[in-house]
Amino acid sequence: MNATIGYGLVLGAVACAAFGAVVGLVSGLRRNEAGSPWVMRAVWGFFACMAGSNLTMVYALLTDDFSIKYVAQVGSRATPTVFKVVSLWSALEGSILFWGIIMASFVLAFALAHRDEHKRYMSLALGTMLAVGVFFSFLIAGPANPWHTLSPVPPDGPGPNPLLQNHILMVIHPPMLYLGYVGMTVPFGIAVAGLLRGEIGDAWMAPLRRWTLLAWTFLSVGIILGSWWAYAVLGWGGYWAWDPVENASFLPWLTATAFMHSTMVQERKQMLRLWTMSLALGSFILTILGTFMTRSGIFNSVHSFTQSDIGPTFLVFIAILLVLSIGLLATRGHLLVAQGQIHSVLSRETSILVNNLVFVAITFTVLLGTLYPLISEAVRGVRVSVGEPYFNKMAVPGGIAVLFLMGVGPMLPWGTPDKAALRRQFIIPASVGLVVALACYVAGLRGFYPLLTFGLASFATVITLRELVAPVRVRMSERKEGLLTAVVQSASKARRRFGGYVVHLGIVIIIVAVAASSAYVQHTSGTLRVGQTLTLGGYQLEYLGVSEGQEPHRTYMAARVKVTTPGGAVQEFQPRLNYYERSTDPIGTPAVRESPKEDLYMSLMAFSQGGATASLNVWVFPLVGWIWYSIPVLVLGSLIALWPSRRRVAVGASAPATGAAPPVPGSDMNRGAA
Amino acid sequence: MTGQYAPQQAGSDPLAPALEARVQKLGKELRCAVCQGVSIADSPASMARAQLDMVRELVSQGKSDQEIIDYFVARYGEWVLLEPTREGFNWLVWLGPLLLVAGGAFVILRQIKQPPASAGATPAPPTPAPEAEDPYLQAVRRELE
Repeated sequence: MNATIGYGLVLGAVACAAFGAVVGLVSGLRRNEAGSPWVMRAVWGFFACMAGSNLTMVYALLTDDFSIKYVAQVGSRATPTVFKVVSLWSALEGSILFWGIIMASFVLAFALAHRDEHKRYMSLALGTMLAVGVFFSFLIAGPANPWHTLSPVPPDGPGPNPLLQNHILMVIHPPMLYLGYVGMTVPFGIAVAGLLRGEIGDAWMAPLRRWTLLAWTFLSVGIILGSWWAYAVLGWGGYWAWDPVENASFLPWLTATAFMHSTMVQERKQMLRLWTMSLALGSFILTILGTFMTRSGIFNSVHSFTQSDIGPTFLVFIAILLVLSIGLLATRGHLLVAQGQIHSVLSRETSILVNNLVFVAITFTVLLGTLYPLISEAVRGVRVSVGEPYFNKMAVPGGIAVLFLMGVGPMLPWGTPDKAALRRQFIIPASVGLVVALACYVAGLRGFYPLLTFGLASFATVITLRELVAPVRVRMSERKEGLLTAVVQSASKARRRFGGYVVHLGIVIIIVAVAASSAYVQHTSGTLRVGQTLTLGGYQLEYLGVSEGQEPHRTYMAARVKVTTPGGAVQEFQPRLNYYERSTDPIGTPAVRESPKEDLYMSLMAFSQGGATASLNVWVFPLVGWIWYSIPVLVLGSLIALWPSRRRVAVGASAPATGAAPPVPGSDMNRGAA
Repeated sequence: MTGQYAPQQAGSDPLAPALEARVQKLGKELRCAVCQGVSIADSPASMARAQLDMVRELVSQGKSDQEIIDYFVARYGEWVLLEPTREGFNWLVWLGPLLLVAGGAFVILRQIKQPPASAGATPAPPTPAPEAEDPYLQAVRRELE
């Protein structure tokens, strides 16, 4: 019964998406707006069918309906309720179904957000997005159908992959990542609509930027949460392994970041238009390539629990996308000719061009490294690996370049700079950077790259803060506004600028945390008898014995470890090994003592019969937590930039001032903004 | 009840700090045979621990880093190296990014055109402010416009 309803709804989604795609694209290309109400109905229909099918699956999972093959694969009666819901995306078929509802929600949100504007483009944009919807609903209906039935009905199932029910982060990380991935469909639709229509006005660029930023924000949060999950669950003491699937999520993030910078040059200088469009299309294609890499099983990866034979379908889709995108860019290239020019190396324009080069180079490196094992096998017939050592080596210069540009870029003016003024501005941040690097050296920190990173990070931070504070100061002195009013006003008058710099601060935090935690990590391991201690970085760890316990879906053995911190605090931790009924290898849960300064990370590797000895792997990671603490900063910055300009941010106190006050610089900032 | 679980095999004990550092460094460069792209130093799998013990034994026998790497390559093939060797076709993966950066830098430099000399007569420093204001604030102001 559930299967019939669920599958019927999937077929309904295919029909709605196909209908809407055809009507939207055909009427849009004929420049005829009569079709748009029908496209809108198709969007609603697509959404309703996807939502219905997903809800049916959740219902089937919650009620243990093992007549459905997918439920029988990932469900079990013993699974806690929250993980039963999570099972929706814990294996391939379900995750593609889940993908469907997210896509439908995005398309609907886009349609509703812009229902009264951009009439010329909307049918084409929605038609394109629904065409992508056809592909995914076709996948759900055919190659990745979650609604196959089983007979006879098994009495119980194995439960989801143990790795996925080990930590609550698994509940949030995949949806965030999917929101980021699927979100790129919207900018793709917008860009294709502009290219198909043959005109890309500045007004149409605004939704393109906004929706890219929205997807980018979800993608950023998803990636960071994923690294946090790896850190908290996998127990090998790392958060990023350059796994093909991690790389797959990183690629569109990089190109979307490049896009958001190049779009500024496009806006101001009417340059880089073809390039900016290529980045918008490329980001979407990379999300599809990433999905293919995650799902096809051609790579060895932590995520290969999702492998299947949907690869060929994806390859065909990627080929279509590539041909279509290149064809569109080639035939519409004349619309995208640069009108402006760059006159100076020391200008904002140049710094953004270099930024784009750096991001594209990192994208290329990650892509090349990820695909190289396949290339090598195809060309030389030799299997090789490209792993962490390679990527770390290549990523360090890239990260340094990004830091440097985050400092220099915002300092450089558009156009031709006044060199003397530039020199004056450069002095303070550069000396702060030098002083910080020296102070770190005096404090005993060594290593060229980490010290360079800390110096450049301070340099970039000073410049960014100055850029954030300067408009506030101008407002306070010229309009006699209070501090709070001035902050809110300058943030709301130039949201993209303000939000962008806040995001920069978040990125600086991440880069510093990554550099510090990898350069100054301390590690030890050892086998302890009860009562023996191990010391590392001022921490004393005493092994007290094992304890065992039972939870509904697993049993565990935990090593009880008494930790004495350098400050003298005493606390007990229990790194564990979890045993799942249907999984032979135990899965560890490390214990982490978190603090802003450093994390003490303990993982239980082995214990002997009865717990007489235990083998522990122990790390001290300085500053590592700041990688995830940066999430609120990134989200705050993105929200400031995304906040709709029509609805005024509540300012309260400043309202009476508008009458008499002199015109404030930046009052017109929202023209074409965001 | 404890007996229900196979106690996990512990690895051999760490060597003296200087040698152990080499063990860990080598371990980071070698791929665990049964895992998914993780090094033997990072993997919790028992197979990886056995491989790391092998490294430890070879180090304590006084073998050089290169000899140890050769030992593993002879057993498991080039695949065991997490970083492709710098030889032959593998140069692609090392030099490809550099070529891209070089090409990109060339393209960017060609994009920058000095303004024609005739315009040099009026260098037009953007809108000189009437009052002598901090040029930096002027720049901020221009940016907000």
